[in-house]
Amino acid sequence: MILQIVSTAPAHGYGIAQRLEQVSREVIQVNQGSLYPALHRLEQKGWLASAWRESETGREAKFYSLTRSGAKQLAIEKKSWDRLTAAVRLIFREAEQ
Amino acid sequence: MMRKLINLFRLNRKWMEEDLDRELCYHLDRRVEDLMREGVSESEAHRRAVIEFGGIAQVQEEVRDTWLSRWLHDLGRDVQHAVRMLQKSPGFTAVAVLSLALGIGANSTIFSAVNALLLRPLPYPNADRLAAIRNTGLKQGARPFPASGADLLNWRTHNQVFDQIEATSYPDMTALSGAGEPERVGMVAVTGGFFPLVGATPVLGRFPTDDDISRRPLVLSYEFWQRHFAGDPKVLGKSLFVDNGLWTVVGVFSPRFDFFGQGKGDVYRLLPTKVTILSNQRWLLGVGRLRPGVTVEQAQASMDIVGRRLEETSPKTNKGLGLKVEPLQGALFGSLGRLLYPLLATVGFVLLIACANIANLLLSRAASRRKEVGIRAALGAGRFRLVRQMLTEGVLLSLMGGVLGLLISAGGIKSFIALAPRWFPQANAITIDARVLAFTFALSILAGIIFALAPAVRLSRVDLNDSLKDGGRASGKGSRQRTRNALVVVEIAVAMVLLVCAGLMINTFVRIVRTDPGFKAEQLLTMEVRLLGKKYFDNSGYMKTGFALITPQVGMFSSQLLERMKALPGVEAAALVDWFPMIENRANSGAQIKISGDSALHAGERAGAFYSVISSEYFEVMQIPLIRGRHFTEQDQESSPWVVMINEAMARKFWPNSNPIGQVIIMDTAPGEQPPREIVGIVGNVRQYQLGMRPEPEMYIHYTQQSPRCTAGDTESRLHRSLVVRSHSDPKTVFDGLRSAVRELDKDAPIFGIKTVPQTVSDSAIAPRFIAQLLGGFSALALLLAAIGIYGVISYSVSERRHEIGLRLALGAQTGEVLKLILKQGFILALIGTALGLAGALAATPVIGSFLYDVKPHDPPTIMVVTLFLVGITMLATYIPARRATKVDPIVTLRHE
Repeated sequence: MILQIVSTAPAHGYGIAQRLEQVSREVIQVNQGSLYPALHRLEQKGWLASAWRESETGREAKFYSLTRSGAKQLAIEKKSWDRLTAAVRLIFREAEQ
Repeated sequence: MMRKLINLFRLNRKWMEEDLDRELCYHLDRRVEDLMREGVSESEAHRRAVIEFGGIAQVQEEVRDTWLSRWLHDLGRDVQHAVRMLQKSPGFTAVAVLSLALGIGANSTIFSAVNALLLRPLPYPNADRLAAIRNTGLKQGARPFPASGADLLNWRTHNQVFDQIEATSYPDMTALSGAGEPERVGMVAVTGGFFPLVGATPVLGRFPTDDDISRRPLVLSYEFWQRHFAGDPKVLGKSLFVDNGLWTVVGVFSPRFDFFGQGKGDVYRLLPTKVTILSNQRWLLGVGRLRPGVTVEQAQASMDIVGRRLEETSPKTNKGLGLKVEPLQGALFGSLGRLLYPLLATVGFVLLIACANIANLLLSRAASRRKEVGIRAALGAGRFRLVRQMLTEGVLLSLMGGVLGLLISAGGIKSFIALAPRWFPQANAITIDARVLAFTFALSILAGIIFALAPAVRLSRVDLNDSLKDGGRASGKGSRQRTRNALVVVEIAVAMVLLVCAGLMINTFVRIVRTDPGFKAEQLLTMEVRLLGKKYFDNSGYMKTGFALITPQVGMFSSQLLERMKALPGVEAAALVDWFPMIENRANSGAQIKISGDSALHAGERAGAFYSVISSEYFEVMQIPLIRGRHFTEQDQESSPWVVMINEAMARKFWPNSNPIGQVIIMDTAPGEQPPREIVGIVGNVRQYQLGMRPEPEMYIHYTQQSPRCTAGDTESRLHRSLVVRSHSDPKTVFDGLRSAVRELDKDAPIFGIKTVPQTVSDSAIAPRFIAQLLGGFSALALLLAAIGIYGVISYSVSERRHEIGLRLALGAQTGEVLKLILKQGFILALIGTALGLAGALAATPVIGSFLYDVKPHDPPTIMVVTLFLVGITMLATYIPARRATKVDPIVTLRHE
């Protein structure tokens, strides 16, 4: 999910947290802090790159962006998610019939 | 270098922490702003932001965990990569690991000796609180010497810094009989508290206390008990005749108790702790346990006061004497540091050369790896990451070398012990223990970092574009070649220093072995006998007078033995002497002399000189030349006027301008009796102790012309006889004959030291031989490594210059010119290296100055030979690749471009 958010444009941690809340329409309620270990883990895996840049408020913030291997990973995840949801959908459909 | 690296790690870590703090701060601040914009008060906004965020510290910790796992993950990948790289070039790996293994193995070997003697705590309880207390002169840097029993008792009562002070004598060689074959044994005398002080436990019986003195208790070492009594438990209560007295065995030590580490502690007798007339002899070592928290320095200061008080209260015995408190380990074995630390430095240099070599190999591989590194850098690997990769490779290599090195050092320790002189203490305690393992491990890692860092940093500076360009012909080649040349120059210089040291030591050894001992050793055989028992030695008046009496039986034994020796088949000539020159455990007798006539001494002035007691045939059998005067004859008897012969050194020292023959001297060889002796002859100098010790003034007296009075210190000399015979027959038959001649006269006298004299003479040079062998071996290793180094550099340079050489040849250069070109390159390196090495050698050789004999530390011939040798070897190592350069086919190289 983080990868998806970052894939459109580089974002900083707070921005990602806000986006997460928005898109999930507050379905997923987590501590905002737990976002950071996840970000760092993704960075260590080489899927995200980070850099300090000026943010919309004019203050320096750490922006995360998707790397090439991150994009690849995102594609893989999407595909497997699609497959999973497709499978679930199939099961539901069969149940309805 | 190491510190820089650590700082780099720290800096990296600090930077990451700051980064995280800023990131989290930004998040919280933004949240607070947003909440305030929604109308929440500032303090409430703060509260909610933090709650929504969850525990800040917890988040930080979780993030740090991801860093650690990343670090471990990277390490694993680095190691994998390193293993792959090393597998790819097995030749390089083998050479590197082997040279490292030799270097590290040599270091571990010498370190394990240093460890066993100087670092590993002594195996006694509270070993760090044990101190040696001895007497010393009041001058700064005066050597400590043994203390007297009276002093030790005084220290015991007056000191404020020791829990306990006990005394032990140094091991003395003496004789033992009363059970089985009489034997020569090493005896130590100790006070009763010594046993608990060193935490010894008996395997049999018990240890005596000071109160047991009237029962004259004796304790055996485990090894002697096994050797002499085959471990028989019935030994307890047995009476043994040791050193002229009967002693009763009360206990046996547990195995491997050897306080002085020389294997000479066979039996331990109890010292009386009553003050007697004998208590003023200085022959004891004080061993004290410091009170908890007291340092050696504090103890020294406190004991200085005790010493000064003693000077005042007993000026007769203690005027001008100070006290010296030292850590026990240093006092027992510290002097070996003089030998071991230079050796440790030597092997350290050998390893340094090995490291320089591998750094060079890595640098030349760097060329082929530029592309790999370029690609990794282009893929986003940071510089730090690249350096780390290289260091991992280096450390992996050196750890492999370390493991192999440990195997080598296991063998090395065995040969070290085998080569070591017998006096080398604790030789059997030299083992690979945890400390040696830790040392080897640390040394391996350090070596890996040292040789990998320079190439690593250089590689990580690789210019991306440049290295990725196909076939990228090295730019910055000049600077790399410079580094490689510098490394080789250092190698040659270090090798030069080691070679000069080894050369000096070998020179020393050769000179020692070639030294004329002053007598003709060939065809001489010796055997030693030590008389013991009431028959020869009466010490009943000892406690009162301070001396014992030698009975006339000793002289009778000597003359009867001489007759029998001369009658033996195969014996051409025979003589007796108290101590044959250079025999093992040789004691000596010294005398204060006064010269009544004209001499270099002022009237009434005393001087010291050693003396030997001989039979009249001695000089003839030994073929020691008579310079002036006459030999002893049959007419020189106890009843005739007493006479003395002197050696040349003595004549030169005391009568530089006059004739000593006919002069009269007084020797204080016996307490209270100092008959004048006339000098009747001068003989040639003899090396009495070691070939490498210059002759001192010596006197010779006839065995019949000796006072029966004998002090404790002279007992061994008075009862010891070396039998000397000249024979062309089979030594074994002669020795058998000598043995039965002694046995016919005395069944209880220990017989030992059965040896041919050339063997004795050569054994006396074992210490310089040992040092020469070690230094020679290590510097040969250094030379080999340096030669490989220069070979590698020149080969590499030839392969890099292939194009240029091809062009030169194509343009008509002769192969001779090409050869000269390459040789010149090697020659310049060799020259700079030896010049630097020469400077280093001049600075380093005084360190081994005390081991040299007849050679100055800056001996020009040695330095010259070593220089020529080193330059020769380096030129040989250059010649092989240079030859290859001349075989370059210009057509092939030019087409290749």
